[in-house]
This record gives sequence, structure tokens and C-alpha cells, in this order.
Amino acid sequence: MNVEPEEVDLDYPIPQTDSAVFILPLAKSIEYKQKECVLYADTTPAMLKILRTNGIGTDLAYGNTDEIVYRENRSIDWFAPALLFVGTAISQNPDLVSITLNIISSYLYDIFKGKKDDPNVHCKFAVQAEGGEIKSIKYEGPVSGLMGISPIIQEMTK
Amino acid sequence: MSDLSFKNIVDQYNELLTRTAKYDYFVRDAQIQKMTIEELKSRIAVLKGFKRQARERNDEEAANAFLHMQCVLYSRISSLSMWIELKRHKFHRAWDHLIDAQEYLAYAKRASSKGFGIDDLVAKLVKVEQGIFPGFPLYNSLGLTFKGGVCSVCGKKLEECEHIEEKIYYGVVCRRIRIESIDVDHTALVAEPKDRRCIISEVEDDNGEMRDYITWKVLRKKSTADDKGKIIRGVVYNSHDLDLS
Repeated sequence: MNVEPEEVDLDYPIPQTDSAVFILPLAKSIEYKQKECVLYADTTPAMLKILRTNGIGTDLAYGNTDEIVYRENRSIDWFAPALLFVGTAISQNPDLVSITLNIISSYLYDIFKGKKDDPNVHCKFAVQAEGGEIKSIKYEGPVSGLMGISPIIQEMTK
Repeated sequence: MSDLSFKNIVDQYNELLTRTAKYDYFVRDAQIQKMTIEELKSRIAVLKGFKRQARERNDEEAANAFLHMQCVLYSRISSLSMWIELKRHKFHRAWDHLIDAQEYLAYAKRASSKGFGIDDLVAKLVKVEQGIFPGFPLYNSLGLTFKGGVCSVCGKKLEECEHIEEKIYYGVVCRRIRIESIDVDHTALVAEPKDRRCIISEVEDDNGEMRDYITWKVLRKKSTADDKGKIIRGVVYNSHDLDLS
């Protein structure tokens, strides 16, 4: 298990919505087939849906779905899109982070059943701290360790 | 569908699985194995019909049970195909069938927990893999970018429907299909790839000869144009997909 501080470059405004979580692009502008597109992790649609269906307001941080190009790493590891927790949403719901991590873990245990008992995941989590500063970490390790980083993310809000 | 008719379907499925198990060995006659594959395919078509009816009745549990049976029978087909290809000395194709057989069983386990004997089938395939093939310490793993594609469950854009990739809905696994365009971003050698069909197929030995990794047969002398470092060749992408619809 590896948890490290990670830089997140947010050079665009986060949409003003009620969402508690935003999915960050890998790159906000790439040229793909002579068109300008936004690059997201291929796991983005699944992440968006599992969080929304479990009642966590989630949106893309940049761009719209028509202009998305996805990146896939064809490894047995699961590469999650980077998530940004809105600081005020964590203040209003202190369980937001642990619930989110639990939803992701449950999904992964389900889809990896019969393939791998405790698959490795690669995740980045960013938090908008009280002063508006963005802090983030990177987690690489087994799904079983994902819940363990909840207090670290929670601490980043301060 | 009444409980009795569902029980009949399950009984027939179990009978077919038990009966065809005796052909699931290398030494069995290839012609018998081919005929068995045709019988299994016919049964899968029938099961898919039952699955469609279960979906129309909003009976997700039954639909998922039919997907389970479909996957187990496909695994048997893949296993029989592997033996046939081994006897034809088509070892790379045999490897692909082995991986198909393993992956179908993984989906069978996810589709329904009511089936039994799956762990024994998985264990048998692991033994086959270890006993027949040399082992692959590294596989090719692609990084790629892609655009477009639709949901295998409803046919809408995956960004616009409610289905979640890899989840099972009424006996159908949600996947992104009919992708518009794919570009290779990078390749890497990894111990645990997403697709174990992406094997190293040829390696250069210490004498500068290219060998088939599975048979270890010398294929050719390395070309002098290639004499910088060791050469390996392999499968980087496999477009083959399992039938999980």
C-alpha cells in the first residue's frame, strides 16, 4: 500500500453545482483525430454512476461527455479517475469520504469476483480545504486498504 | 415460467454438463469434441431464449441464472476448443481458448451464486494451464485512448444510460461496445495484464535466434538490422470478446 501527496493542477473553475464530488480530467485539452477533446480515465462513467446511484452528487469537473476521449490502462489493476471532494460537502456530511470509499470498494469487489480477490487500485483524491486550497493524495494498493485512507482525506480538509 | 419448468431446464443443463465432461480431455477424439461443441452451442441458443423471456417477465434472478449457465457452457466449449487446437499444434489459439474458458467461469460466478462445481472447473483449468503451457512471467499491457461506444445492455451511449460497466443486468454484462476509434498510447510489460491473451509469442535466445515462446522452436535467425538489444514479439491487443449478451 502506498499513499503519497500528489499535485493537482486545477487551472479551470470547478462548476458551481450542488455536487459533493467532481471527477477530474487527466488533461483538459488534447488533440484527438484533429479535434480538441478532454481526456478522462476510462473508468469515469462507472465512477459517475456508482456514486450518483448511491446518492452522492457527482459531476465532471471539466468538459461535457460529447468531447471526451478516454484513456485505458489494460492492466489487471483498476485505475480510478481522480476525485475532488468539495470541502463544504465534507463539513455538511462528515461521512461523505468513508461512504464514497465504501461504494468504490463494493463495486470493485463485485466486478473482480472470480478474477482477483483483492485487486490493486490506483486512485487520486483531492480536497478543497477550508481556505480554498486544493490538497491531494495518491493511493496505490489493494482495495482492502482503501477504507484506511479515509481519515487522511478527512484531515486534508483542515 | 413455473418452478417446475425452471427445474427441468436446470436438470437438462446439469445432464449436459455432466455428459460433456467426459469429452473434456486431450486424448478424446477431436471429431466427438467438435460435435459436442455444436450441441453446446445449440443449448446456449435455447438458454438465451429463456433468458430473454425471463427479462420480459422482469425476473432478474432467473435471467442471471441463465447467464450463469450460458457462461459455464461457453467455458466448456472453450475448453474443448483448446484440446482440439492443441491436437492441431495451434498452441497460441489453444492458449486463447484456455483464457476464454477461465474468464467465462469468472463471469458465471458473478452471474449467480446458485451454481455449484464452478470452483472444481476453475481448479481443473488452472492445472491444465500449469501442466500444458510454459507459464508467462510477463504479458503485454497497452495504454490506449478511445472515443465513443455504446452500452451493451441498452444500446445507448454509456454516458447517457444508467447501466454501470461490468455490472450484470437481467443476464447481460454491461460493457462498452462498438467503440468509434482506438489509438495505442503506450505498451508495457506487466506480470498481471487485463487480457492474458496478450502474451509474448517470440523471444530472442542467447544465440540470437528467435524462438516461439510456447514451443521453443527456432523460428529464424535474428535479422542483422535488429541487432540492437534483445528482441521480443507478442500480442499487444486482442479484439476478441466473450459473448456475455
